[in-house]
Amino acid sequence: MRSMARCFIPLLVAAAGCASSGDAPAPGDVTPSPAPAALARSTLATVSWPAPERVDRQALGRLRPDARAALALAPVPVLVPSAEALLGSVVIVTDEHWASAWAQADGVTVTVSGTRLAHRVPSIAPIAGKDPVRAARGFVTENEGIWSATWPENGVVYTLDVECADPAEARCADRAWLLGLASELVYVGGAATKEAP
Amino acid sequence: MKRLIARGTGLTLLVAVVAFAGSAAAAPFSYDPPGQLIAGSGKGRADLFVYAPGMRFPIEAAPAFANSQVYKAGGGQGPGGSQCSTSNFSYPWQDNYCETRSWDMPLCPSGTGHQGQDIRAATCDKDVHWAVATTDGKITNVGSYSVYLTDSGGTRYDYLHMGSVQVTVGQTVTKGKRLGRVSNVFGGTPTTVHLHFNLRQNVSGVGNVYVPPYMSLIKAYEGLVGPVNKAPVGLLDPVDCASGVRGFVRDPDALAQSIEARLVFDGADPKAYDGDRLADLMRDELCEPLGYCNLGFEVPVPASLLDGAPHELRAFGLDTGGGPPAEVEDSPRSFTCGLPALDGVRRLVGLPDGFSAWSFSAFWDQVSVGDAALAALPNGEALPSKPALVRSDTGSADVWLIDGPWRRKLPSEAALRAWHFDPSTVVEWAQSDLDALAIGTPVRPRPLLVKASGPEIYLVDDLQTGGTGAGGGGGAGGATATGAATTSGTPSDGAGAAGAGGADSGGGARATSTSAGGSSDAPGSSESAEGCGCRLEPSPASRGWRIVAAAAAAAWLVRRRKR
Repeated sequence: MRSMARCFIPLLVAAAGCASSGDAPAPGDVTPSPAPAALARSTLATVSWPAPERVDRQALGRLRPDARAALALAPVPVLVPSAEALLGSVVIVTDEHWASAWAQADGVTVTVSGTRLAHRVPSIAPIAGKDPVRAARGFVTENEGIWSATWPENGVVYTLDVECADPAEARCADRAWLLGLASELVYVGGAATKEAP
Repeated sequence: MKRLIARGTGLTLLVAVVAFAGSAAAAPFSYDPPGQLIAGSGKGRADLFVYAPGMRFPIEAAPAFANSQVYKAGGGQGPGGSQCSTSNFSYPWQDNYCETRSWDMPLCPSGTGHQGQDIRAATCDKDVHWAVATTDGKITNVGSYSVYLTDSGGTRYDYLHMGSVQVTVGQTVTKGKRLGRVSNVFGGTPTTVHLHFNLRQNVSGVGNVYVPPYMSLIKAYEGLVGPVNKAPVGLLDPVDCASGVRGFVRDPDALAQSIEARLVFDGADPKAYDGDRLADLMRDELCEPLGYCNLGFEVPVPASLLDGAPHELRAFGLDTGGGPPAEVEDSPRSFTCGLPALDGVRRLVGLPDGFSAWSFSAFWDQVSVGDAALAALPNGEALPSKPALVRSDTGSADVWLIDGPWRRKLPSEAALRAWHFDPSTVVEWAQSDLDALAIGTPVRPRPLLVKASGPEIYLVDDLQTGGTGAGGGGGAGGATATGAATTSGTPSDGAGAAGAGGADSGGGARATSTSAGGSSDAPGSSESAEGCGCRLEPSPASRGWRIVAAAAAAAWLVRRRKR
């Protein structure tokens, strides 16, 4: 009976537990949180702004005027692809806590975003990144043919997505092109360096 | 254990009971628990966390069906058939976050899996059903087959495989804005018609990862079709003839609230019950896993069922949302309990007023006995016409039943409930007034009434020794009576031989031996007590004093009640 009761309580909590088949999660896979939504908390990271001289003037100069103007509102350092073809199409989108650079050229769409806001989820313990991305360790994955990396840098968290118009083409065949693109990202500024342009 | 698994699987605990007004798809919304994937499709993540509270459902109109594209009809690993099979467009929803894929996913139990949730619109027609913004935000990507919407907190909502895309990068959108139509766009090789929906969030200590979208989608869908009422759940423990019936109930819609339990004996119809009770008793083992402890219920086995015959008990939780009572896990239970040994004395219960004033129940409290068994019980004093409960003004939590010249301690909260006493009727007395009354045996854990062929009903109780009459030590102790007390009174006269005993009565918990009526050497010295632990109190020496004391007690009671 005791074992049954132990089994049943997680069932109530996770609505799975004992109800699961062999492929379903076992109790304890996830730490239950009694009032999940209420426990969510956000934390704001302190941005480590790169020195102004680290702004890639060449890349900055190739951004369209609207993109350069948008940099002044970016609450985090903005990274963009350095490839010539992509630079000319960059669109910078900013918000209170994040900034995103989008570019599209030659059948590939690239999105680089950085956010200083993190969400604390009580049931998720820290997980160290296992993939080297730029000078850090992060995570690399593929989502329906879209390659993606996330890593910490400048005190915030960045994400790079690469989508090929044809998911079967070579650049989206594996993570190599993504990681190469990541390594070539350049810093073009942000709110703290708005005088730079 | 096996049975639990089997039953649990069929439970689909989170059953939604919502009909779509005006929709052909009138089936009620239901969904499998998060983390429960289609068998053989991987190991899911049982995660109730709502990562995007307040989001709108990403498809404009209901119905919509969250399930697998790969492991359902028309999918590469499915059972065959077409992607347009009606089985794909039916409830319950099924989680497919972490469904088997080779893609790295740090939050999936296996470390790899599907990043989001696949959702089918009302039909499998492409470019018909609108996908809409889940939140106010900005469009941060329009790819070849993807659109990203990012909210002010940085949470990203990914829409894949849409056609007729209506937005551009940098555009600010409001919740509900049409973004595109559900389609099958996927480069040169179309996929099935569906919306692949991701939530991406910067999780502290991890990074900007794909988080489980299933619960957020359920909440959003509820916002679209109306709130889903979930049935109560709970557990019925094995019935123990001595300690009674225990279990707990909980309403998933009211996580930190006690709800009512309904116990149905010997009947399949949950309406055939004998009252509902608030299941608010502390169950320590529930505190940590459920975050709330006061969910338990506990009642004695109904005395009328202590007959040696098999009986069945079913337990239900009453739905705070107005749904039907929901039977709990391990219900029904069967049990067979015999009549306990009738020890002590019988005390006449006034009919009908006394019976009513004590809130006795023929079902819960009364057993039928043969005339001989009744006759074998010595007569005690008639039961007071109504109960009087008091506690000391010293702050002690002890509750006492005033029983003639005696004060008798209620042994537990469970006893208070078993006796149907209302805690709000307990009045406060000065300790000195309490001290003026002799301490009798503790109130028995539950009332037990007996009725033979005659109309009379008696309470089986402990003999309170050291009663009316003068002198003599009274009140043998002992937790369990072992023999029928015999008194000088005849069993049928109701004259209350319990008046025997003396002023120096011992405060026994329960009489253990004969007490010769009127004898001053009635048993019950403190030395003879079995595990009494009660304080020996001098007893009033005369019947007259006792009458005065009882009158004073009554006066106190009245006065306190008026306050």
